[in-house]
Amino acid sequence: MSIPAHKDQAIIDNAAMVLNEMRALCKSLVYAALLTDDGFEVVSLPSYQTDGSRMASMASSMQALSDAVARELKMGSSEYIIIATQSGYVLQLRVPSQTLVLSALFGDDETLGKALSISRLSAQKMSALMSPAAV
Amino acid sequence: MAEHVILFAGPMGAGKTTAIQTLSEIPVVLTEAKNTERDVVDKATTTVALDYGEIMVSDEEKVRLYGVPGQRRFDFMWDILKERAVGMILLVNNDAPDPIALALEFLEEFSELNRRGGVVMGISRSDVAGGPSVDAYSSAIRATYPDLVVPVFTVDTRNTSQMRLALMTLIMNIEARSALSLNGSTAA
Amino acid sequence: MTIWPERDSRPSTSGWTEAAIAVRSIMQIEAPLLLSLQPVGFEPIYVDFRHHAFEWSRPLADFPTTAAQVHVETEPVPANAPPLFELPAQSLDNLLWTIGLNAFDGAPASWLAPGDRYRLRRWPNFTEMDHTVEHLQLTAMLGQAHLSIEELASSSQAHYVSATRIINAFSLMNILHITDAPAGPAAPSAPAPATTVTGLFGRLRKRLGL
Repeated sequence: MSIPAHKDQAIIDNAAMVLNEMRALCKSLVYAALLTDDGFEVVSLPSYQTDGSRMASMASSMQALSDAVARELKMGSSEYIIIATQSGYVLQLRVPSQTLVLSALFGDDETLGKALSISRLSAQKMSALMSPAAV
Repeated sequence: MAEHVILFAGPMGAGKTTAIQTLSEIPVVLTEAKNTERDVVDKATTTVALDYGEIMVSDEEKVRLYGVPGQRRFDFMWDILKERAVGMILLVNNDAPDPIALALEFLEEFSELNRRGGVVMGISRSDVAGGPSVDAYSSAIRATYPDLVVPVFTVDTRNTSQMRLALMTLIMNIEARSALSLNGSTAA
Repeated sequence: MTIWPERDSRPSTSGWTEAAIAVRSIMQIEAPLLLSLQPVGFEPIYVDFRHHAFEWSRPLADFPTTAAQVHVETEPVPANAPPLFELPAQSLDNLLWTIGLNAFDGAPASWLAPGDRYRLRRWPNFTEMDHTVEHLQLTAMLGQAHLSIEELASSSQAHYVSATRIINAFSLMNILHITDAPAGPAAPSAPAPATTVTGLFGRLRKRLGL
């Protein structure tokens, strides 16, 4: 049985690197996490605002619900989720070809376009790091 | 449209998703993810948000069936859905470690529904040797909730007539409690 | 399986009423006993009270509800002796339910007293017992409050005999709490709404064809 992602040190180290680079690229990033499909946190950027493990579970539920909505409406797969609040955006998307999800909270001083662009790049980078060629 | 929400709760692996698939008249909406806790329960996938199914009573009335994830880390979903439910079918698999303790945990978590007589318990995988008897569950529940009598049945969650029995018993129990209250008294 | 010992004494013979009385008496005794119930023309039903189980060579659906005579034999057994038959066998509840429903010809069992009120201590496991919708309804009412037979029938809009038979069966199964206290606040003074017809139960039942 393979090691789950949230217990695999190599994956955890890569995930931490990706999130740190994300923060370096975008000062408005308040919080970010990589989590497994079934709601376990792989790694997160420290944040006083959230309980990381609870956020991971909630993000997993949201991802699954959005996938279910897209399926139900026969619109293909869910590409990303946006929760717009008065204080900023929560962006969430899958890491391509992996059973991981990237969830990120941006302050309201960030544009949605840039937040989405950085999130996509980070998810793609994580996917590349986890691909068989990279391992 | 009149709607009645029934929850399916219980520990992971008890058969909640299967039970809803057995009862639902529509294809069940699933929110499954790959299970990374195969050492806890050996299942390939697990529900991470909710399962959703329906029974159309008539053109103007339906019963909505919601299955909640079994793991405590998703208890925010329990909080969201229990507010909307009139009753709950609590499923516990008899081969779980200490299934009676699990049953009591869930009854406490959903105590408001329990106090309204809105709980029926189904014991799945009772054919596996070594698990507690139905009477053991009933005794434990009675010791904790002496004023409530919770129906406890052995069930195969794939069996339509057994799952319908659980559902009909739940509704009958809620209506019986309500009927006695309607006569100007509260059930003793 | 233990071979039932031949006995010199003549066994008693009885219909299900007397069998129910015998079973009830045995269950009041704490000493472990084995029981054989043999309706005339049928193979014996063996009961091992230590394991709350019975064995019969036929399915319970073959139970002769109108048996005029039932041979009843008992045999003391050491508590740690092997089971009479291979376990888990069948739950004794199923047999007691069947006997209790069919004994006493619709009258209250001899051990019940006028003025008694009954409340369920636990539900029977109906997924493994033959039952009707009326049984569910009566059981649900008994789970809510202490009710006399008349109050149970009235609140369930069921026939008095139906209510009596289920009280007989549940008391034989020892799953009733019995009190002689006067009616509590939950005792219905008027028939409850006919939930089997007009409530969600009735509508869903009709929809599912139950």
